[in-house]
Amino acid sequence: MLTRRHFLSGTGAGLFLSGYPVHGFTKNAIKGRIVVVLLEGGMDGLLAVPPIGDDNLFKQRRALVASNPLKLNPLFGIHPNFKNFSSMLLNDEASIIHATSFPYVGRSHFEGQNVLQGGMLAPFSIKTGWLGRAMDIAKTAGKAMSLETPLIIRGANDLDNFYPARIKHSRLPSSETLRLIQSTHLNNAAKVIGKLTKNSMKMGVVSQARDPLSLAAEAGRAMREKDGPRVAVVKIPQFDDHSEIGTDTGHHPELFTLVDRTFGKLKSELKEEWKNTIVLTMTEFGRTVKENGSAGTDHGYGSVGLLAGGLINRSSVVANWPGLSNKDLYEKRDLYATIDYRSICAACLEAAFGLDHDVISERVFLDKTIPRTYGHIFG
Amino acid sequence: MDKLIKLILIVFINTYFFASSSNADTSVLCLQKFLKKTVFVPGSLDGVWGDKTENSINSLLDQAGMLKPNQNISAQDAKEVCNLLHSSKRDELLESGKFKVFRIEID
Repeated sequence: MLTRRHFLSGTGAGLFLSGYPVHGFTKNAIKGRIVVVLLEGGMDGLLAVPPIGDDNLFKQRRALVASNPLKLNPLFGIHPNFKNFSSMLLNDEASIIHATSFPYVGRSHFEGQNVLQGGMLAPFSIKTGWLGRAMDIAKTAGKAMSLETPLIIRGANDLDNFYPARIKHSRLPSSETLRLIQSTHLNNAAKVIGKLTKNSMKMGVVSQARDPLSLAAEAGRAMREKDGPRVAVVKIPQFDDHSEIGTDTGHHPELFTLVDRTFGKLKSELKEEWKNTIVLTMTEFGRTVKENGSAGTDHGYGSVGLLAGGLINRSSVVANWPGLSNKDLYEKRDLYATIDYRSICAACLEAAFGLDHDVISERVFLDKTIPRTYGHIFG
Repeated sequence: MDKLIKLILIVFINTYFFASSSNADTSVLCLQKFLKKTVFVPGSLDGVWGDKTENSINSLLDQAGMLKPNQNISAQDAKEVCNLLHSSKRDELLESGKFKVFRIEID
């Protein structure tokens, strides 16, 4: 039977490039580059960046704290699998936003993804994405290198799509897709598809559902060109761990490694253009503070955002820490989000596109009340 | 019953009004009211200079880059800082005080 979890794990990684300067349309091509890394499924921010200085962390989720996090300051540490990202923190080219979320308190993946891409207060309330609207204002709209155009980069202008087949794995069936097909068949048909899946795994061609690292490398190579895309969206799926989330090792820590290597790959491939780049992660929601009965965590509210790039001058953790005692939690179960992540996206747009904060607030997010966080991240 | 109410009122007024007003300093209260608008909460608005007020005002000014190296604001600086909080720097300080920045201290 096709379950929701099968469906989510079957949706592969993806890359979307946009904002190519277009002759006759783009005026004064902007210098900055933005890469959005979409962490689909809801990343556990407390496992990624544990607030080790908050005693309640160990009371609430003793089994879900890595044994040797890297201590960043008296309040925060970071999971040891973020090796590249930790080096960037040391080099003053990365920052962390904690206890943050888009203004969405429901717990649906589909609504949450729509809110974080659309940038509105309610899901399914707009047909364009916040990054697309910003590209419209910055006059950088252009081709999207993707098979479909994700909501986040859709603006008022039509995008020209193309998808290069030379990206590694792009023409190969993914193991997850095969598993998905197998789950809908019975008896001999299921056996045949199962055999096909095994054979494809043996060939070593389907390590991930379209390898995010290859996609990040492709993005970096394209974006370092003078007339290359100014915007990239990399999707990393499979964060929806309701059971056996892992602490030092396991599924979530493996995904941390993948995210970390994505940051590393983008930096190494962007080369000189890294100094004009900001990479930011986004996830639709965090996960519950306490572990559930299956050593996993369920859909929550506040999570963490990871930012890196040469546009950052001084590393820090930005957080209005809400605390982790029972009375501090959202609905007595989730980390409270005390920073609206739209304000972080606004700061990234200000840094990369050179747009005025009030313009971003009013015309990109259609909300005059978004606070300015530029000085806290890029100042 | 009336006597009991009078007694409670006298104790309340002595404890919470005369006691605090005798120690209250308008400059300190000015600082505390400003801090209350930021995430650097000063504790109660009592006009009394304590650890919470001192830590909060130093943290805010440090984060805003308005402290010299090794400078520490103390009670005698309250009036001068109050003037700063109501100068042209006010908006900048309010914006800075909306979010707390924890610097990276990896060895």
